Amino acid sequence: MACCSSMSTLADPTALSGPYWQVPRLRTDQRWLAGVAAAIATEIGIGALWIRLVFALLTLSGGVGLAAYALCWLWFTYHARSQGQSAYVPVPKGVNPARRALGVGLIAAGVIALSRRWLPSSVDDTALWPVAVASFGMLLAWSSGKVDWSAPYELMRAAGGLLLVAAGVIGFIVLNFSVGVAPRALLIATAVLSGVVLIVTPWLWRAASQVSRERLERTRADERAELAAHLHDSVLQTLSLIQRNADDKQATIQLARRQERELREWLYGRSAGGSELSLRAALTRLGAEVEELHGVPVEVVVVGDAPIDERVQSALGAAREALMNAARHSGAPRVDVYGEVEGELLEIFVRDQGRGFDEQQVPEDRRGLRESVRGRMSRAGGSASVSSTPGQGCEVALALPLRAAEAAL
Amino acid sequence: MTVTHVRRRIALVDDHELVRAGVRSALGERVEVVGEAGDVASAIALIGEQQPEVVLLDVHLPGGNGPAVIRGLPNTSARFLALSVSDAAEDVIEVIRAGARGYVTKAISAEELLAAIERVAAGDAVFSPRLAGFVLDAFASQPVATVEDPELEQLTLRERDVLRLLARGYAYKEIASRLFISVKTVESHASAVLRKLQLSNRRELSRWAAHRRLI
Repeated sequence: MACCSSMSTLADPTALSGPYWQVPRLRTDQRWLAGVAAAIATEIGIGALWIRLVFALLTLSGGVGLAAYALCWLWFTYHARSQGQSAYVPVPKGVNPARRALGVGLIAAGVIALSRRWLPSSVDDTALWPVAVASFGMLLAWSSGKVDWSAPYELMRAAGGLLLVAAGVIGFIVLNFSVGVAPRALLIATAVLSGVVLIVTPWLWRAASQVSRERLERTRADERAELAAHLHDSVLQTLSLIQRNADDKQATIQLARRQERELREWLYGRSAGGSELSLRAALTRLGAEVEELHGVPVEVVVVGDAPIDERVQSALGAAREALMNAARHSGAPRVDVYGEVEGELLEIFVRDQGRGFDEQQVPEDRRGLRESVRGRMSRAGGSASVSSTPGQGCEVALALPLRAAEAAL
Repeated sequence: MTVTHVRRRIALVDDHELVRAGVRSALGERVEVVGEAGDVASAIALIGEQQPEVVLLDVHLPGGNGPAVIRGLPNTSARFLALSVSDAAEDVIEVIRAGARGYVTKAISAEELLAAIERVAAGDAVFSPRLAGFVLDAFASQPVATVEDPELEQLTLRERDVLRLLARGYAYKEIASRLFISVKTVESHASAVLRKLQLSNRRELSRWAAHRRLI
């Protein structure tokens, strides 16, 4: 039901709130030249061929058609740009297409008759080509969608178009009056043009600066929207989680630190360097992961960077073991991870200031972990050392020589 | 390091009132907070009038950031300790170059912060592991060959050792015993690093900063 009623209102032109006649949009999808004829045809509701025929006839009668085409083209383009993205929906006019075509034909005939009457008969030959050249030049100069004047190609196009316009104007003067009149006519034309430029320039300037200001504001709005979306997905979620977990101090701290890390990565990640596949990013993520698992703050500092290959991956695995070990068993309030790539040597240090242990009396489970750290490193062609004193924490040092080719990266 | 029971006179400069309140309550009665400021202009006015011993300075501030505060007070006797959540290495290095005596992150514990304030008040440098990493990175990416004054522009091997241990999370005392030197020597190495950073060629450091952004 609802669908049917909405369809019937669409078919009824009076039911639409938009204006009955609208400025057409260029139909670049159906164009022969710029799509002006097809645009007008769409708005009127008849075949584009009729409008093209009218333009052709008008052009043959003294170039009026070309000028009209160019003017319509400019008008439609400007209007579409000032309207922005709002949709153009042609209103069905509810009149028989044949009668509409007849109307267009009659109007065209009238314009042709009037132009024959007003323009001197000599104009036909001598005015047609200069006007055509000038119109083409105008199209060329204005056909750029962008206003990027810094591009040399755009400048050349604009200059070429303006030259053609000038040639058309001079040709018009020379062909329609005697050659001797030309300098004086040019002088007058220049004077008039200068006056127009003087009047129009400040207005154009203001319009242009307003457009760029609006564009800047739109960009800012987009950025704000992106920021808001991110904050909503991350910070606001975490804040609500914190409110719910307010009694659990450990969980609250953990949530806050995790959010802090994530937000920092988002804010500074791009400038702090390190692609997805770099040691820097991987160690930072590792620290965050362990911190989240065990609730122990992990301070990660990385100097230099290296791409990750299988061997670096092994070193990262060993670092992870050491880090988990420290977070689980040391009882330290904080674990420090320091990674450094200098020349062809990668070093990773994992240090805690926890209870430490005596090398001689290592419990079985920790010995196993140490072996897994050492084993990984030696298989990768590196080394690992563990130093600890009871009561003074523990440090695991990993070293891995990188191949010369990788160090150069 | 001797534990003094003098209450240091400090000023808090941070644009977030919550942060200032948090720091104030964490430090409690063990320092005397002579004032708080939330932007560059009021910070300069406050420090100029109160002349605190130590200023806890946020790196990012409305009206020109931390370095602007330090540069706006060329004659003050106050010493600056940068305290920030900022992770951007360029910003941290910039505030140190402007004259701050150290950089600690806001995650620091109250005890550590008090120790850092004491150290800065005594004219020493305070290196968090993160700052040590930033400084090592800054000096590591400078090509040795183009340096005009190697004494000034490069870290000595010893300074590098000290910085690396700081980055690994060692305290001054632990570094001293590891390197078989006195704590005073560790402190002088740290101060020397700060001085080199402040005097080092701006062009080299900006190239470093540009390089970091490009990665």
